[in-house]
Amino acid sequence: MDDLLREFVGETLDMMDAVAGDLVAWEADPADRSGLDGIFRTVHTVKGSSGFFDLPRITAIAHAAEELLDVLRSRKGAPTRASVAMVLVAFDKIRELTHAISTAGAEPPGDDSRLIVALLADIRTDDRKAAQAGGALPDFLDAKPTAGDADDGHDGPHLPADDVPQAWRSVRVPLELLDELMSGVSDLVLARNEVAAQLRSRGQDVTEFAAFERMSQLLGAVRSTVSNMRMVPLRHLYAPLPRLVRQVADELGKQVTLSLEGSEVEIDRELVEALRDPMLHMLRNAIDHGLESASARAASGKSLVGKVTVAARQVGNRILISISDDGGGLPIEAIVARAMKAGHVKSEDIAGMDEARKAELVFLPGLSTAQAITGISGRGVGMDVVRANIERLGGVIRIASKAGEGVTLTLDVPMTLTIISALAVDAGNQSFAIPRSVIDEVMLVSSDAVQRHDMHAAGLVRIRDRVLPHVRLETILGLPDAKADGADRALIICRQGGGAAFALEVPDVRDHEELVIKPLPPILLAIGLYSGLSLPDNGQPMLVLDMEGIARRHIGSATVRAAVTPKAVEQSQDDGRASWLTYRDHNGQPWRAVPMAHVERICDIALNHIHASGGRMVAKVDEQLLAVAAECLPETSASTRRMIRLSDGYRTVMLPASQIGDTVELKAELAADDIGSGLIGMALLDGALVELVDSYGVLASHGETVTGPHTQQQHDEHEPAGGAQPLWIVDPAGGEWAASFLVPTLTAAGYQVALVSDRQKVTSDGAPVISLTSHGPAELLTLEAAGTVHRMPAYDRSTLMRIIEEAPEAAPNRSKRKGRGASA
Amino acid sequence: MSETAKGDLYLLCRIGATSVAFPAAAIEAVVKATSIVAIPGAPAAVRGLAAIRSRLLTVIDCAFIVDRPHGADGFMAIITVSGHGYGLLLEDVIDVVELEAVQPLPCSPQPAWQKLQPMLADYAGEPVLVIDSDRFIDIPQRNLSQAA
Repeated sequence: MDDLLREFVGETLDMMDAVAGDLVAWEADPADRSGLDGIFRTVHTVKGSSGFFDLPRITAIAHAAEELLDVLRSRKGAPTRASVAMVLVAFDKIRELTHAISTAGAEPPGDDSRLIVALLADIRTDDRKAAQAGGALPDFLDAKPTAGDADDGHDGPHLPADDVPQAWRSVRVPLELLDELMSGVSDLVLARNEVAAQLRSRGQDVTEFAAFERMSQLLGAVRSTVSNMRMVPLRHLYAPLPRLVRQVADELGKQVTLSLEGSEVEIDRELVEALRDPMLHMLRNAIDHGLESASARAASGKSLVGKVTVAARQVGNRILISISDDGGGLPIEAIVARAMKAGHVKSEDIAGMDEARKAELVFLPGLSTAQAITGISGRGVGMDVVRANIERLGGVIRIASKAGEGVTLTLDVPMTLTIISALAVDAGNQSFAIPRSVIDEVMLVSSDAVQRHDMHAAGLVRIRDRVLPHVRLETILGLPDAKADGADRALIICRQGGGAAFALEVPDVRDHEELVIKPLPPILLAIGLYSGLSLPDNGQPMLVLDMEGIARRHIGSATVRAAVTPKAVEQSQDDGRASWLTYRDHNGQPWRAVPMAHVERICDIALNHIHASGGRMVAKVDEQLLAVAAECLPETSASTRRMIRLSDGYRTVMLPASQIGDTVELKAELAADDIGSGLIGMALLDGALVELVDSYGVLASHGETVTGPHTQQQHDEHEPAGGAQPLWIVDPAGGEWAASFLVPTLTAAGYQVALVSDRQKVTSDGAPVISLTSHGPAELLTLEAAGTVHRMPAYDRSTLMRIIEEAPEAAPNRSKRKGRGASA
Repeated sequence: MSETAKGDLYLLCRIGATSVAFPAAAIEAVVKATSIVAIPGAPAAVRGLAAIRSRLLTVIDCAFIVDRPHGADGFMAIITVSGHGYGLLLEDVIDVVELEAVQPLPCSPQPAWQKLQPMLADYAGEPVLVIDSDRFIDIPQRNLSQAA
């Protein structure tokens, strides 16, 4: 028996006792109908819950009892004694069955038709006749002459309540009582600490008192029990969903699979109750409006079975629950039209809105876009009500829609007054808490893995192979630096939404603690640095840092940029800045950028024009087969894939990009040599990290694998490389790297290398020229070959060699490339 | 407060050199102010956080709100506004007294006091400003944009 059924058993037993009392009270004083609604509601609840658990006997009895009660309620005056007795018998039967469920785990088989006929006898003449003919009514009343005192129902055929195993019983407790208990236990812990402090101040060793130790342990155990009392796993919220989805799908004649993720995420019981209705509503919407009909799905090449996913995760002390469907996306135009018709927006407002803003319009009142009112949804309860409910909980609701791919609704709700595991860090003279859930790693600044790169205003730090934005806690809080640089400070690597991370430098890390989070008063919430308050065991109030807010403010969020607003930006090479196009290869991945110089255009390729062959991906573009720079592509429900067509003049490759960002001017802040394959460095864009893609590397590794007829022809005309070719290296710093590494390597490869300190000293036109900056191999080097200027990291020797080797032969064949006049 | 019945109880205390009375019904307790933890980034009127019997209080500096210099941290009057606990930092708490005839001020008070919308009463021949304790919470909140 699962928790839910156990809960049902406990609740039903409690309620049956209570309503029996109420019913008798009403019978005694028919004028006082105050308890009547409660009785009605209870019976209705039992009927509903038993239906949910598939307990047909209880459902049938409760249904009949409800009908009888309805008639009794509508009749003025006192209920007949016989009717009340019948209802009480029904209550007893429900109790009896519930007991049986609690021991056997299932409803025992049996026939209740006589009881039901007797219940309905009072209201239906037919049934009355049947009952009288069968003698049902007197039978029941005879069998239980004390039925009027049924709340004393431990006699007769019922199991005494004491026989019910303890574990199966539950008590409903108001949350305030739990809060009181929790704060009482917290007080006890503080008092214990006070006693310990006083004992110590008298020179006594606390650890010697076995009794004191024992008390501490017990207190800890009690506290964790109390904490757990409020928290329930989301399983409880999820439990009714499969059934609901099945039912709704059946009614609509759709096939739906539901997948539930994150059922182990714990959430305040109070929130489970508050979220239930909005969740059910959104699921109904997803199935009814979100998923297309089977025929429409077939037409767009999707699986006939629609997919709805409910996923939950904890982010800091918030819970994110997303409900996604793989339907056709929101009918944005229809929503806009409705919103305008309803007078919420004007056409000039619409002009300035991007798709995301337009999608948000569904949260306005009165915007049901359902074509037909389907009994399931569109009954006037719109997303505006859902949003209002979520906001009442201190939550946020977001919507993301992609035409042809579906809609994702995300509920972002707090889990206030819950326990979080946190790391206490010191800054100034106090401690702050960082939720453990956002922390990836904690390390000392002095650790070997950490390399500082304080560049410009925005700090960066390299930790092993990751380059992360870096901020100091004191800077964020406006506190003076506690310790001199290089002292034993700690770095906390924090996750940010969307996978990005940053490093928070703190003077000291103290301890892990389980903290009870209390909500912030508005005046402190407005500061924007904190998300909650806590009182740890030492009795010193502690503020919980709002890491999401801090990241947003001090790091910037890479997820903010989405709109495509191409700007004509001139490429300028003098300060190392260049024009880059930002994109994402999958949603949720960090932003990347490719040099605009290599971007030919952005194409949408039909899925049936993309093939995997021989472990490589190929796309058919303009009657030409081009390599796709990816090992595999993520699943998609769209009919096309967006790709960037990259070319350096003689190699072309398609780069998958689910999301195109912006054309921006970037400078590689960090030409890291081990950032990972395919990148030449990192740059900061509005404070967010952008990975700079080694476009040449991409072209080199993929561009040749599959070639179109056009490119193939070029290769056919190639002359083999031979003889000693002239090659220039310009190294203004005169560093060791060029002289002792580059020159020998290139000489060994058969080049006649000339090393000079100034570009002006290069005398032969057309020969490849490798120019280093004054920082030597630490910065990008410039390779001029065949009239094309490549900037590349010095470490990428294989690419370097390949360009140099191929440039002289390739150049004469590339008549369409500008600047080819420079070739020999 | 003009409706105040005769003889209601008030907490008589001192903010700066001014005698102030809070309706006693709103005051849950008066405690000695000890170990207040600062809140970096908070508006100046917020002195910090204090814990009284496992309750967390946001400590509001009453003297600051009425443009008086910070006095000694004497006492805190504990109040609850919208479910959040606050401690009003007071230099001195004199007594709980009965006040009669609480009436509007005959003239405008100094601007610093004006925003608290005080009323006037008489205690043992001395004028006393009667202030709704909640106002000390509203004001720093409204001024937050300037202060922060």
